[in-house]
Amino acid sequence: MFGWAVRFRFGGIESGLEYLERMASKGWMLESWQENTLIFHRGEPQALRFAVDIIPVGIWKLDSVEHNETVRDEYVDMYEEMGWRYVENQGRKFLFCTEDETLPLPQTDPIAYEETIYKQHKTKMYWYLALAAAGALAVSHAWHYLYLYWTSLLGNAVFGCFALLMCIGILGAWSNGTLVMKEKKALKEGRIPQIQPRERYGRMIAMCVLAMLGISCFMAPKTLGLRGVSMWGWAVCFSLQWIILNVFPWVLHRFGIMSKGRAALVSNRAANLLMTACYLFFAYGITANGHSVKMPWPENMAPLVTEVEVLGAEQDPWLLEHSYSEYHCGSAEMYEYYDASSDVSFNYKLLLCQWEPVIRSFENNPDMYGWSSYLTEDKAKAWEKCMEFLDHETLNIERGWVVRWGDAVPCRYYFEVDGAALYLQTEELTTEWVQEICRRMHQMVIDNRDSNQ
Amino acid sequence: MAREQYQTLTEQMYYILLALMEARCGVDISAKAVEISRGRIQIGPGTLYTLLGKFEEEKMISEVRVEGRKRYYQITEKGLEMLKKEYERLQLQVEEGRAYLNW
Repeated sequence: MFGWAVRFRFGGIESGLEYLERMASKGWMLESWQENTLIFHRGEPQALRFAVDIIPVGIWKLDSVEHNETVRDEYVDMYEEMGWRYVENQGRKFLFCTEDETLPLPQTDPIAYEETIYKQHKTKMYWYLALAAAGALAVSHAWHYLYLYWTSLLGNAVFGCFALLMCIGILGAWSNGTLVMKEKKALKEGRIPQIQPRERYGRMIAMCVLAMLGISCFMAPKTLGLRGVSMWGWAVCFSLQWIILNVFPWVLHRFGIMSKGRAALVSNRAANLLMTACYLFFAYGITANGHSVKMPWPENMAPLVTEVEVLGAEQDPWLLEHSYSEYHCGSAEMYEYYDASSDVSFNYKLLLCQWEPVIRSFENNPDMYGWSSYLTEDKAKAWEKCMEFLDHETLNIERGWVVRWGDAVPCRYYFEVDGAALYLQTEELTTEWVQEICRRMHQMVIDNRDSNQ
Repeated sequence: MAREQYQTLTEQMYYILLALMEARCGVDISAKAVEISRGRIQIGPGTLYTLLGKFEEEKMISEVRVEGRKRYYQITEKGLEMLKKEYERLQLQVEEGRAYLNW
């Protein structure tokens, strides 16, 4: 019979055994124990003792459902023969109750407890620490090449997975670590630790929230479609969740729409649905980027490094103020272009870079740059315009060019050929186009040099 | 607390092995342990279940028959040997203590 649903509120009602005993003394018997919800049914007040025990890992194997059913039944039978009544279980954790005050608790041997359950908790803690360390290493590696990860769908998903693994590792190590410390203290004092159905997880939730907010701030870069939205987005989502969990039930019950218990359960489900939708929305927003972006890096380009020379930087106060690595990343090496048919060869540099510093530099020093902008969704037209520009404009080593062609997209390139600089904002740059742009720039510099002689 | 597993037995282990000198199952083991220790030792179901599993793994006890869902265990030669060792160790402790304690 459904009576009442209690939600673990943020910051935590501790799901202690004492709490269950208190509820039983008021006539509320635990019927079901789901992830975040306890469901009680109304009965007669009883003075009950509750206890939790864990089936050790070596005994409950994961390979066979039939074996697990048998183990589970034998385990429960043993308890029931000894006066404990089975209530509920979550995985290996079993909850029992009894009316007999004199019955010994499930675990009576501290040394056996230390050699089985405590050892398993310690092992679990070490595994989570290893996961956190691996996740942190992966994130720090990815951070070094962040622009590479952020400009592709796959890169975003991979970075997200790294961050998620790190967070899961940290949270798991934290919760198991605090449990292990509590157990160690009790065992040192010669006591047997009392296993709770659910450890207090208020701090865990807080850490989870902070981790998600922190990751969101970095995961929604200005280059993607969600400028500054994600942090506020998370704040709005959590506020909505709080309202749904705490205000909704009151409203639903106050206006006689449904009973208190049902209102609490419905609100809990609604909150879970909302958060699931939010996670999916943000995951889509972060990874999809509104439209697909092909990894634009030409095949023969070296991996990204940081420090690089910027043409005209010594004259630009904004650029001087900021480290190059903040807005430029690419190889400091020159690449060779060689066309056997025309016997043309030269060296060129191609980098992925941020847009804002370029624009700012351009605005601060208009004489340093020429500007050409042609925005269109038609790639063929955009390419035609770019070629037209490169045919007709003059590139020389005293002046860089800022060119935007194609749709407004996050991919920005810095070409440097024979000392002439070109900042290009575009999408889906292919190897052939890189080669063609470099070749034309080279030709323009030569023509310019010849005409000045 | 570090010790080599099962080289010395805890009180609970000792009395469980004593109770398994005859084939017994679950609750009977616990009841026998209470009887042998005259009510001093209480074995919880969790400890009992865990230790039975461990003893069976170490081949210190073996399952002798099954009646429905009840499994009957009895001590093996290896278990008997370990029990004897523990008994002798405890005897020695008492003897050595007696020399100094004059009780």
